Order: sequence, then C-alpha cells, then structure tokens
Amino acid sequence: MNRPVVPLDKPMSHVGDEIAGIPLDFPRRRGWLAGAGGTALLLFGFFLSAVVLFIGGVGIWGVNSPVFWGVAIMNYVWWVGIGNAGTLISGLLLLLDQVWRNALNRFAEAMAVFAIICAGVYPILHLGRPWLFYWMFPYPSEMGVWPQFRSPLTWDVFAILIYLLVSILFWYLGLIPDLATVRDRAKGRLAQVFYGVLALGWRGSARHWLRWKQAYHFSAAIAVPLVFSVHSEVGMLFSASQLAGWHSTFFPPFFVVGAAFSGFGVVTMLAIVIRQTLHLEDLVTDFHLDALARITLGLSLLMGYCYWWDMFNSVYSGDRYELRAVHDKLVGAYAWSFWTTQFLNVVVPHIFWIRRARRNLVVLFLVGLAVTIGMWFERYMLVVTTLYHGFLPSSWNYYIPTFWDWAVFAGTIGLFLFPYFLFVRFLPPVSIAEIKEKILELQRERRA
Amino acid sequence: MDENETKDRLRQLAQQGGRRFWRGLEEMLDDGSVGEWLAAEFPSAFEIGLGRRDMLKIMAASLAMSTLSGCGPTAESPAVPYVNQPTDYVPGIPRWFATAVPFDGYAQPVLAECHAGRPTRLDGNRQHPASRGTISAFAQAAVQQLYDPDRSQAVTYRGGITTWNAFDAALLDEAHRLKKSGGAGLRLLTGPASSPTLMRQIAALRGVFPSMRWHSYSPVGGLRGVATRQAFGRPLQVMPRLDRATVVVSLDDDILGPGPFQVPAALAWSEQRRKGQGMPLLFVAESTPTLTGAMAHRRLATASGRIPLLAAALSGQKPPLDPAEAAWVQAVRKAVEDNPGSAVIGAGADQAADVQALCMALAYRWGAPGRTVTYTDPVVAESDAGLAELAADIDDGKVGVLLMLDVDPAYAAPGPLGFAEILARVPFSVHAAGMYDETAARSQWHLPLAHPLESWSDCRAVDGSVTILQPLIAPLWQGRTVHQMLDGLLDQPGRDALSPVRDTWRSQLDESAWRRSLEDGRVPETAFDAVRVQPRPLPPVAAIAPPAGTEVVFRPDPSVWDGRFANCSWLQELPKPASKVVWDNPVAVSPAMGRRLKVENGDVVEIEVEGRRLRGSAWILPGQAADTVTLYFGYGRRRGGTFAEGLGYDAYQLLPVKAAPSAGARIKRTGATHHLVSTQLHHAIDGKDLVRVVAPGEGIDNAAETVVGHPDEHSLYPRYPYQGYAWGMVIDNDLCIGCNACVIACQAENNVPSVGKEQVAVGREMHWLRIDRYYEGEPDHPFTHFEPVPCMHCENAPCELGCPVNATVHSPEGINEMLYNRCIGTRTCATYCPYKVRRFNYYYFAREAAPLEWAHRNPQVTVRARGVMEKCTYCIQRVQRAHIAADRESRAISDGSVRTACQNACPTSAITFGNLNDPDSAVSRKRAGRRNYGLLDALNTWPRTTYLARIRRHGAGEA
Repeated sequence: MNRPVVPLDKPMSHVGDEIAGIPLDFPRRRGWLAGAGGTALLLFGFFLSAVVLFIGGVGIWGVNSPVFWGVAIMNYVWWVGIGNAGTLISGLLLLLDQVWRNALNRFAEAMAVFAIICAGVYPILHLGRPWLFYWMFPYPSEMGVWPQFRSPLTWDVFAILIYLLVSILFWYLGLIPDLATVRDRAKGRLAQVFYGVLALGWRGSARHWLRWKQAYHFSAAIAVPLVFSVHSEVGMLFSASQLAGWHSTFFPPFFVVGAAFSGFGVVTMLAIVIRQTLHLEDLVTDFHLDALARITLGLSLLMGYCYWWDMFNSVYSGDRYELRAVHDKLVGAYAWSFWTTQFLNVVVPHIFWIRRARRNLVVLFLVGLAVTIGMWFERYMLVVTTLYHGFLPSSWNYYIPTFWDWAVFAGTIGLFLFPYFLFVRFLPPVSIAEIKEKILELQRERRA
Repeated sequence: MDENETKDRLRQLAQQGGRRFWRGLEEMLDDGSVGEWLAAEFPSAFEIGLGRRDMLKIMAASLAMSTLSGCGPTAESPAVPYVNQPTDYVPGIPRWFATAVPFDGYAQPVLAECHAGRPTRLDGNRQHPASRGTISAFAQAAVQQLYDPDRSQAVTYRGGITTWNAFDAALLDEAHRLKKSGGAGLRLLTGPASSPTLMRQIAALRGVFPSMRWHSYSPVGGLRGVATRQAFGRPLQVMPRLDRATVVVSLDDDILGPGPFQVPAALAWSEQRRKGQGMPLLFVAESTPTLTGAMAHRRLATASGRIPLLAAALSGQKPPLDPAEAAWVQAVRKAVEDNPGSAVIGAGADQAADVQALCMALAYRWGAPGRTVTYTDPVVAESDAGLAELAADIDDGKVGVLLMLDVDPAYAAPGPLGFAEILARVPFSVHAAGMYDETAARSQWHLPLAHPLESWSDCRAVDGSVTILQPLIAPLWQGRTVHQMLDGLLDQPGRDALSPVRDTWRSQLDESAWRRSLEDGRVPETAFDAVRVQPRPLPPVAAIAPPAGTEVVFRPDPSVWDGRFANCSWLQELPKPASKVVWDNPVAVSPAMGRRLKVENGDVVEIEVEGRRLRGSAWILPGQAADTVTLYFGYGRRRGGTFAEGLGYDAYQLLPVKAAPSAGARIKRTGATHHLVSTQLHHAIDGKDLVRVVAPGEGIDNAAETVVGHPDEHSLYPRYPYQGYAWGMVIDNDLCIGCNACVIACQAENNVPSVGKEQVAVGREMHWLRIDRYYEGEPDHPFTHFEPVPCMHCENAPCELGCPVNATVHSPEGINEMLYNRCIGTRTCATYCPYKVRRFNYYYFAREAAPLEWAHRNPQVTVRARGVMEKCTYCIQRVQRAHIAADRESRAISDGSVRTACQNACPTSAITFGNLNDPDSAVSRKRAGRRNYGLLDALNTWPRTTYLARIRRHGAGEA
C-alpha cells in the first residue's frame, strides 16, 4: 500500500477527461471495429446455432443416456460463475470500503451482467421443448399448475433472474453520475441526448448524491448475498441428486469458491486488455494487478483444498459408489478433465508467489486464461465423470460433444464479448465519480 | 406401382389395344390384359357384375385414379366411419381374436388385439397349453411385420410388375403341361411345415402329379429326424419334460433359448423352478453362451466338437477328456445317480445324428420315459428331401417348375451350394414370400404372400394341436395365402382364402365346432398322443478325434433368427441376451482367443473355412469356449427391406451343406474396425447387491452375498397414506431366463419407438424395460445373471424432486407418473434417476416411423413428441381400464385383473403386479417373502418394483 491506488498527483479534471473521453472520442477505433466485428460474427453464430437447435431438436447435441446433461449445463455453471467476481468486486469490496476496487468495479460489473445473460440462455437452450421455458416461472396459470418448489431448478430460475436484475440495477445505478459527466462533456447533439436520457436528469445536487449513495450501497447490500445464494443454488442442482460424486453437502460453498475463482480469472484478463488498449495505466495500476494476482492465488489454494476435501469426503464415506467416483476422476475415461483442472487451477496460479510474475502482464493474462479454461474443465469433469458411470453398469455410456455443442459455446462467447465491446465503446468503462470521490477523500486526509 | 410404371402400362395398353382402343372403352375391356389389370386393381367392379353404364363410369374414374395407386393403401382406403356399426362393437374398446403365428412350422398361439378392424398387438392365448397367455418376442413382432412398408406389394415377373391373373394363366399353362408328364420336374420347396391344409394339398398334388417332389429347408433344426430314427427306429418328436425331470443335461442344446420351443420349455421349466428349490438341476456343456447356459447350475464351456466325447463319456465310454470336462461329467453322473429315473439329456440339433441318438437313448435310460421325457409323432411333417437334393436336381436339369413358398433359399442356403446361382437354371421358378428378398430377385415369378394375420390357414403347435389361423384384416397388398397358390395348381385358381382351409376341416368340424375352434384358437383333440417307443441298441460313439484348432459354430441370431425378422426394427433393436449388441451380428470369440489374436470388440476378423472366407466384427463373449468362433445367421442381407440390408455379415456363406460344427477354421485379425453397437458396454458385475443370490429356503438377511443396506426408510415428509390401491411389482430373478419377451411386449403396448443403430450408438435407445446382464466370476467361465429393469416407481423418487414443472409426480395410487404434455425436457429427472430407466425423446422418434407403421400403435397410449421424457408407467392405461370396469360394477379391482404387458408376455411368469395395500394379493405375498430385495435400496428410494433373489443350490453340481 505504499503507492497510491488513485492518481493523486494529477488534477481532478484529469480523471473525468481521461474516462469520459473514451466514449466521446474513442482512442482505438480500428481495433475496436475489428474486435466488435469478430465478436459480432460469433454472435451471429450463436443465433444460427440456436435456430438449428430449435429446428433440429436437442438431439443435435451429444447428450444421451446416461449423460443427459452436457456442455449446455457445464457452460451454464461456468458462465454464471464468471459473473460472480464482478459482483464481488463491485458489491462486497464497496461495502468493505476497499479503495482500489473503484478502478475495476465498472468493467467487472459489466462482465457480470453479460456473463449472467450468457448463463441464462443455456438452461433455455438446453430444454427439450424450449418454447415452454416460462412454465418454470411461478405465474398463476389457468390450469392452476405451479412450479415444483422442491426442485433446485425452480430455485435456480429465481436465483438467476434476481441476480440478473439486481446486477443490472446495481451496474446502472453506478453509471448514472458518470453518464451525466459524459453528457456534460459531449459536443454532438446525438451524444448529448443519448447520454442525457441515460443520465435520468442527474444534476449533481447534494440531495442527488445522498440518494444515489444510499441506493448504491443498498443495492450492493442486496447483490452481495446473491453471490452466495446463486452459486449455492447451482451447487444444489448437483448435490440434490443421489449420484456419487454429486451427492454432497459440500457443493454449495465449493461452487461459490469456484465461481469467484473463474470470475477473477476473467476480470484479470479484461483488466489487462482494457488498461493496455485504452491506456488507463494511471487508473488500473500495478497495485491493482498485484491485488488480482494475490486474490487469484488465494482462491487457487482454496480450490485445491476444495477438490481434495471433496475427494477425501468421498473416500472417508467408504461408499463403494463414491469410491468409484473418485477412481473415475483420477483414472477414469474422463480423467484428463480432472488433471487438466488440477494443473490449470491448482498448479499454474502458484507462479503468483513470485512478485515479478504478479506484475508481469503476460503472465497475469495467461494465468487468468488458464484459470478460466481450468474452471471450464472442472465443470466438464463434474458433470460428465459422475453421469457416465451411474449406479448400474448397464447404463454406463460415454459422452462426446458434437459440432453443435461447440458452436453454441462459441456463440455464447460472442454473446458475451459483443455487448462487452459495445460497453467499452459507448459507456465509461471505469467509474469517474467513485475515483474522484476517493481522490478527494485521500487529498483531504493528506491535508489533515 | 409407382407413377412411371403406371404410365408405362397405359402406354402398353394403348399399343396392345391398337386401333381398337379408340373405338370404345367397352371393347377395350375385352382385351385380356386391360381386364386383368383392372381386375387386379379394382376387383370389386368385376365381382359384382355391373351394367355397361356403371362400368363406363368406373372406367373413367379408374383411369383417372390409376395414378393414385402408387400412393399405397392409405390413399386407396380412406377412413370412413361405419354406416351401420357392427353389433357389439364399441369404438375404443378393442376386440380380441384367437389365431396363431407360424414359426419354423410350429404355431405360436396368439390373441390379437384389434382396434377398429386393425390388429395392433399380440398376446399369448391363455387357453392354449403351448402359450398359457405368454408369448415370445418373435411372435409379438408379427404385428410389426404386418405393417412393414417394405413388404412385397405386387406380383412380379422377371422383376417387372404384373398381375395375379397373369400368374394364374401362366401357372395354368404349366399345370397342363405337368399333368401330361405326371408332374415330372415339379418341385415344391417350403420351410418346416405342419399345416394340415398344406399336407392335404400336397397329398392332392401328389394325386395329380405323382412324380412331384416336396423339399423343405430350414437353416436351423438339423438332424433330429435322422437321430430319432437311429435311436428309436422312427421319426419322433422328443420332448424333455423340464417340469418333471430333476436333472436336466444339455450338450450344446439351447433348450430355453429362442425358437419355437422356447415358450413351452420356459413354461415347463418355470413350473418346477417356481417351487423355490432351485430345481431342476441344470447341467450345460456348450460352446457358446446361451440362455440355457445362463440358467445352469454347472456350466462347462467346451468346443462343440468335443460334445461327442462328453456324450460318449456320459454313456460309459472312456474318451480322452481334459480335467474340467472330466469333472463336469463326474458331476453329471453323480447327479444322475442321486436322482434315479429323473434325469433327461439332450444334444444340440446341429450335433451329429449319432450323438443326438446316443443322448436320446441315455435320456430313455436315465429317466422315466413318458414322464421325464415324452415322445410324440413329429409335429413338423417330413418332406421328401432337403435343399441339397434340390440343388443337385436343378444341377442335373431335373427341375422344371419350382414353387418356393415362404422360404428364402437364395439367401439362407449354405454358401457352398451356390443356390442363388443355380436358381436361374430353373425354367419356371415361382417365389412367394412376404418380402421381396434375395430369392425373389432371382426367381421368374415373385408373388406377395399374405401375412399370417391376413390369412386363413392352420398350423400345429409344439404339442401337435391345431390352431386355425384366421385373418384379422384384409390383405394389405393383395397377397394370397400359400393354400390359394397351391389351389392354382389344383385347377382352382383365384379361389378365396377360406375355402382350402375349410375344406380340410369340413368332415371333422361342423359349423359350430369350427366357430368354437376359431374362438378358442385351438381345434379340440388334435394334440398328439404320447407314443411308446423302444430304443434300439446303439453302437458306441465312434472314437472321434477331438477337433484341432479353431472351430466355427453357427447359430440363429437371438434377435432376427435366420434373417426372417431382419426388417423388423423392434427385433433389430432388441439387445441380444449375451452381448447386448443391436442392429448387427458379431463374430463371437472367447476372451482367450481375444487375447491370443489381440482382438477387441469391434475389430474386424477374417474367418476361413474350407477355402471360403468371411469378414465380421469380433465380440469378446465371456463364457465362450476357448477355440470356438460363433457365427450368427440373419445378417449380411442384400435384399429384404430397408432395415435388413447392409448390416453385419452373411454367415450362410460359410455354412457347410451338412450341418455340423466346422473344425479347422482359421481366424485372423484384419486390422480394420467396425463399430458394434451394444446397449451394455461393461461386463463388470458391480457389487453383488445388484443381483442377489440365495440358497434354497434362505432369505436375503442371512445370505452371504448381502451388502449392508438401509432397510429403514427415512424422509422429512410425512408418509402418504394410501387409501385404496398402492400398485407394486415384484420380479423374480430366479425365474427370469432373459428371453426379451417382456421388452418387446412393453414396446408394443406402449408405442415405444425404435431409434436406429446410430442413435443407439450415441446411447439414446428408448426401451422402457431393459434386461440388465451381469457376469460373476472368471470371464472364461462366468455365471450369467439377468435382471429386467423397468421403472422402480420409487416412493421417495429422486426424479420427482428434480422436475421444476411438476411433470413427473406421484399418483394417489403410488405410481410415478409422467405428464408428457407438462414436460419441458430439462432432463433433470433422468439425471437424478439412479436406475437410469428414463428415456428422452432427443428427436421426434415417433414420427420417423412410416405412416403405415402407425397402424399398430396402441390407441390407448400417447405417442410422445420430441423433447419430452418418458418411462415405464406400469401400463397405467391397463390400470385405468380395470378401474373403469370395476367402478361400473361398484366393486374393487380384483387381484390379478391388471396385468402389465411385460407380465403378460413373460413365459416364466417372473413378473407379478398388483396392489400392495392388499396383504393377500399375489404381489404382496411375494414382496413379503424372504428373497425380496430392492435394487439400490440403500439410496432410500423405497422402490415399488422389487426383486426376488435368484436361488442357487450351494454345492449343487459339485462332484
């Protein structure tokens, strides 16, 4: 903490100039066009593969019996996990009054919103009859039929929906003062109207600030428990079954940790790319990157603990099927997914014990990528390893994803990245108001 | 007839009619060919003798509509409601008719369920001793064959479509010619036959054509007749009585295996087995795993070529045996001595006649003839000669007219005969069959044969009793019966189908007796009486040198038999009992041979026998004799329907002319692989609590195999109080022989779709009821267990917990119900199901069936759409039917009045269904028994379907 995490040595207007300048006069237009174009193609691929899926039926995927859940459920869990870190950084660290979070919270929060959207489409795509997805909602149907409230899926629907709504609300609330800043600096009429409408008539009065602060903290307080409930709920999706390898009370916390871990992996990558391309080195400093690396390392240790504790639990139970589940993880047909997970999630982050590695952008980015991929393999391991070896040997079978499984996956990456490109281009990617507030506070402290 | 052919025909007509065509349509009718064609297309117009003007109208309409004839029967016979509803017919209530489905010459008695004039499903005939209400998988599949869209639909001459009238005329010509020569050169080729009408007609033919010869051929069946002649001096049918004998010895004889004898044998076996003592003691020495071997107390895997040695050893000779064989023989001899007068023995039909004869003599000596083994006249009539003689005669140019009735020799003849090639040398060859198969393509005339469910005929069951086959539907493709065709030779062409059969029985059955026989499905007092026999002295089995090297044995495929069921998707997708392979025939090799050749499942191997080569995919079959390779018939078909063609290898290519195991074969790896699709990939027996075994009189509690479970049932929820019924099922593993009858019964009753090889390969088969197979012990000599697994209808069902939309719920009668129209397809229920009995419609499988096949669907069961889950419902439509019947009479549903489809079909009555709330119901009493256990009950699922442990006599079979 010997170095300031906010630029104290520059005039206050510098922050506003720097950040509000991004949407108004974007510095990397060509690069942006290339990126947005590429991800738009992916997004088109998403719609295409969704149409093929709706016409062809879920049989075009590799799912079968007994592996009734495939890549769709893995991706659902993976995406919703990525959302986790965004909410943690912007909500939890806000409540904990961590100064450094202000440089990261905006784009982390955006990441959360888009990741939740990606997660949210999967349970619908996954359905045998997706056009009837709304039957999972508790609405007063004329037949008097309600969702089945014992099902973890029902609670998943609630959890995801609420999480998405709260995340969007929280993100937008935080944006309002900055949107007003951009509006005030905008030269063109179109931009003025666009940002003016979005800024909801923000004038910056003391009353506005008071109300805003209350609302912002209040929604943070709502969002933070959701982080835990959503991922616990996702964990329950598995542990509510009786299947060996899933049937464990340990899953909810396990999934919360895993979600945070994958989320921090993605945040690290995004932070580096945004910082380097938009030249935000003075806002996203080495300190921030170091903090991300430390958290990643810490979560990696926790993940390792979770994996081995989970297996210890299975072994300690002495249950024949649990033992076989452990055996399958270690040497079964899908052992590669387990060992890839172990390597990427548990071994690779240990490089962050080295201080230089924590400050090296390339290493940081690669580790973030490793963790993101590693967490995907973990989902694969969790879903497939348990399902392919059920209780009765007659129902054992292998699972091979098809082209369309991967097509939809690639498509959702477009569904995530394309809006993200729009966000970076048209909205202030870092919070102006919150950084300024901290600068003011720190300057006041210094003077005092 | 497709559109082009119709156009061709019209063009042809124009040419034939020449200028006359334009003079008037009436005159055109005088032209024979047009008349024939119209008579064939629109027979009614000719029969009712219309006036000239009416005829003109019909002519105009028929010419206009002739192009429609390509649209199949659905276009020709639009659904029209009854103008006058038949008396007693209530729409929606099925009617039942007794008839039979012939199989290798034996009648399989059935009751056909008919909805609105179309048969939809077959049950066994309860009143018939050869069925007692049960039915084999093959017999049930007849209804699918009836509606097979690939069935032969037209008379063809040299491959081109023609008419019945054309054939009748041609046959008449031939008959005239033959009459002059006394029938020289007239040959009849049939499968095994027992039909009295056919016998009468053949006798009549002999009267007209004294030099006629009747050949019969079946690739399975072998030398039984020769053997009984050797043993007793006369042809006989020998029936080991599994219900009476206490020791049963089988030398490569699959008594309980598929075939016409399966149901009666299983009925008898289960009768004794049901007493709970694990009897009869079954000793099996076999080369390839069979259902009989799976039921054995002591099974010996040995080469088929060594069976003569075992027979010789059992008869007191001292042939060289290896230690395992000697021990087995010792054990058999001890069991026979311990059970005097109560042992039977039989040798496989493909064993040499003297070995079979020796076994018959031994059975006579060991048992009590008339009690443990009974002898009757052969049910299947003996023909003049076989296929080899026919081939020789064709070669010699002695055959002028060859009628092939319901046989496919061009496919199923032994390869070395080259029958398909020599068939072309017959000047006038006629082939009548249900399918346009290999023989059809090589015959001059092919005639569509009426399906047994469309036919008047008669046939004898295993006990000799006659069932009159009655048509349940008009022939879909204007096929004729075998009897109608023979009528053509007897100067009665084009006679109706009933007359030849009624003629046979006119003297014996008056009108009321005839009607009764039709209603009962059995002509009274036609069963064969047991005959007394005197064994002849037999020479000792010649000192046979034990075969060296690899031997090849041939077996009918357990699912498609000799190939006749190859176009039946139900049977193609029916997992074969041992390998669980579907849609293919593997080359069965032993684990030892697999190790030696470094061959794994699916590796293509080449087998060479006497210079003839064949390639097929290997399947390592635990329990296969070390040096034996088993080839299965029924595949490698070049014609015979969409499903039949292009699967597997054609074992007939290697089949020797004289049925005997081929020794000295060579087998080698080719390096290629071919994906064999199996529904059970793993051989492992995974914990003995999945299939449990107890000693006679023992219960689960003190059985050594029991693994600790949690019999106490825990739940946070209060138990649901069942007021009325609480349905449940008990499956007796001790009685299950793994015959698959229940699987097909379930499929037929519940409109379960077949999904095809590719989908099964992915793991998407739809069977609601499957038969799990477990091995116990060494792969070379395993014990085999079968366990049918339907839905367990868990009281504490994991699936119900998982479903977010209440699409699977528990009924107030305890049934775990599936609400198809509420299901959105999250598949959580199936994921959570520990038994994996739930099936998901990944595609719209039901719609992939041809429209014609929709005709056999059960109208009382919903056809499931894409994206919904389905599973066993305990045949809830039957429960509801019983409810309605009981409610109308204000009474309770009596025990046994609801029978599920699987229960109904099971030849050993291994399945019991009923009300668990009634302590006196059959199912409650079984469930209260000490052998009762729940599958995976440690998971606290409280299954409603429970099992009774298999009984094994400890020490039984030990020497």
